[in-house]
Amino acid sequence: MGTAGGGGTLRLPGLHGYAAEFSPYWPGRVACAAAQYYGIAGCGTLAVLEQNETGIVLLRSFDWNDGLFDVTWSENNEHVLITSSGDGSLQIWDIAKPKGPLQVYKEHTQEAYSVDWSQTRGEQLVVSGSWDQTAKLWDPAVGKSLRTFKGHEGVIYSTIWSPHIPGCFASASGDQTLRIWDVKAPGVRLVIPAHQAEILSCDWCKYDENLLVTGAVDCSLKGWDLRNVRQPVFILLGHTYAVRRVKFSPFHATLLASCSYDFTVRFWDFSKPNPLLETVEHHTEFTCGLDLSLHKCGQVVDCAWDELVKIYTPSCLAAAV
Amino acid sequence: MVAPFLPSSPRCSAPATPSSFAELLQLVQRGQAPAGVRCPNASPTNDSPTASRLPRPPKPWESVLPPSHSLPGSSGRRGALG
Repeated sequence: MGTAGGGGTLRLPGLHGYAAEFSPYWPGRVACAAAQYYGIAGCGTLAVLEQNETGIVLLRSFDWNDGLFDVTWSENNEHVLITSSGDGSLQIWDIAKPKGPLQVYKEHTQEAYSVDWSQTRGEQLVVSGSWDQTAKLWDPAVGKSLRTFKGHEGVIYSTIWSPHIPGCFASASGDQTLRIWDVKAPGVRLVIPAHQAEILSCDWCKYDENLLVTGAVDCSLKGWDLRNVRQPVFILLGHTYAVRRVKFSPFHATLLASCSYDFTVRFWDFSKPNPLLETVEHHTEFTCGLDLSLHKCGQVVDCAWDELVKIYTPSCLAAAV
Repeated sequence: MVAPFLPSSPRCSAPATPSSFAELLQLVQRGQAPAGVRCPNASPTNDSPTASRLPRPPKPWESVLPPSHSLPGSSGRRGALG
């Protein structure tokens, strides 16, 4: 299995995992967005888990009327989370309260597939991306979006804030482009025809503010330098089906992780001649959720349609750190 | 949507448990709910969030970058969008 302990597995019976995110406040605490029947029928569940000495325990779970596809933790309140749902709505949850959601913001007209809370200090902004081809900007304290970003010609799968440039986010779409937006500027800042296939995921490097990565249905990961987007700065090949989610390491400039419809999670160092560090095969279905801990260097969480959430440290990261 | 080439659907009202993704799709397209579907009827409580008591921990990359780097309007940023 290629894991070096320090983790565990939790089964969410009857639920297919879509996203897993570590808390920015509590080490080992994870939120998982999941759906009954792959999000096609039934409800969604937000599960809040915690890893301890014995494994993973379920702290709380909340149900929503439709499948939950993504989740993001608040950056100014350790209790608060936002999920995005198959019915196009966003839900605000408080894990200190047994009942929720606190608020529901419904503006997207189709599946809300991504939601992200800005990590830039001093701004509390949320961006959501939808199959209605728009991204929306939210102040989570206000029940109405501040702005709608139009331009994508396909569904939006991923919207992620730059960790460095205030008010700047990236979106990845089925229209095969990666787009860069500035909330203070009209229109789109950059359109990058990044793949000749649907792009399901993107992320920003934490140590180079101009570097992004995309993951697509063509099985590849590509790195993009915003100062010159004519050619990718790296291409990572190895997945055998669509790349569902990709994340840069919070600790290493050249390290990243990806999960795929090929059931695997792969770890890469794009600066190396042989960039694929490790392939973790511990799921038996589409692996959709993936995150790297901000507290414990090398710790990873992933979740899949096989109902399993796993927290672990892959061998390559246990050795490297 | 009616799929004319499918075998006729079971008449009984008991929800079926699809054994595959394709079977689930057929079931949903026929307007039938698969077994075990939950309808929580959730709605917003309009409650206020619990007050935050913890300071936001710095991100790992914030501890190595010069502080001015992440501030709006910082000079010397070489970004294409800066």
